[in-house]
Amino acid sequence: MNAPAKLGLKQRYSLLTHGLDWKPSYQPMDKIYPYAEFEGIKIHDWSKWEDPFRLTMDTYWKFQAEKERKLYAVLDSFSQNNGQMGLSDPKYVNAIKLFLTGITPAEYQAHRGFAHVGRQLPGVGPRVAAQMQSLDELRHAQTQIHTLSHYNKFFDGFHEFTHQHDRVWYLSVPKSFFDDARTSGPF
Amino acid sequence: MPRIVSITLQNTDDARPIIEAITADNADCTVHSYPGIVKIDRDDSLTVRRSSVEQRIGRDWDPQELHLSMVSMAGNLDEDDDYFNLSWS
Repeated sequence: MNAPAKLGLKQRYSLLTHGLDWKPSYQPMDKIYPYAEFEGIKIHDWSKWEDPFRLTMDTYWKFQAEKERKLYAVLDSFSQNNGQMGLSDPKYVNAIKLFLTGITPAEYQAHRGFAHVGRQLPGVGPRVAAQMQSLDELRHAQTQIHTLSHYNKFFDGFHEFTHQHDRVWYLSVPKSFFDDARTSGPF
Repeated sequence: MPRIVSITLQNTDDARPIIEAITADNADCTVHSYPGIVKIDRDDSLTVRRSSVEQRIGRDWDPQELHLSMVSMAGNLDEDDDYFNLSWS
């Protein structure tokens, strides 16, 4: 028996993205994807755009899992050795408080934005790309929260960071920008 | 005017053979060493070759393993089983 030849990366990616798409028959396309033609948007050929990163879901998780194993090994070692006692500059703790209120919620918003876009795009290429981006942003938020939660045991000011998302002054401009970007608001 | 493409990798044991392969395969690239990371710039295009990396590490290497070491990149990407290419095309 002849073993079938191994597929190339481009073919594998195509089969696991475009190859998994189907035309809906129970409902019309414009009911399923109401935003695709919102305010007169016209996309002539959804198949023209393809994600340059040819990462399929299995490969994505294989590599991200390996990265996370390394990260969590560092976090374990840091906490077991009371790393928070040996910071070279206490200002670092302030910096990570700013990070947790200023960056992490934006990553989470990006996750939600891309999840929405992924749901609403009828083209399978950008839809899969948006889904991958959405996952990646959620993973960023999660690893940041896990990393900083160790400091929460020893320092004040790490609680209620999502509550602070609407309140810290330094977020006024970037938060407004990302809110608009995420909702296709006015730029 | 040429546009610069670039790839930034962690400066780790895993990434150093990749950095070596890139600098050997891409003539006239500029290597910037920063604390913890190495940024490689080149005019117009830059290629990471599977065979060059495999030669240095002595095992099979999938160009997608770059994701374990890559910090950032600039340029349009063309990715396949045997290479990872950045260019402005």
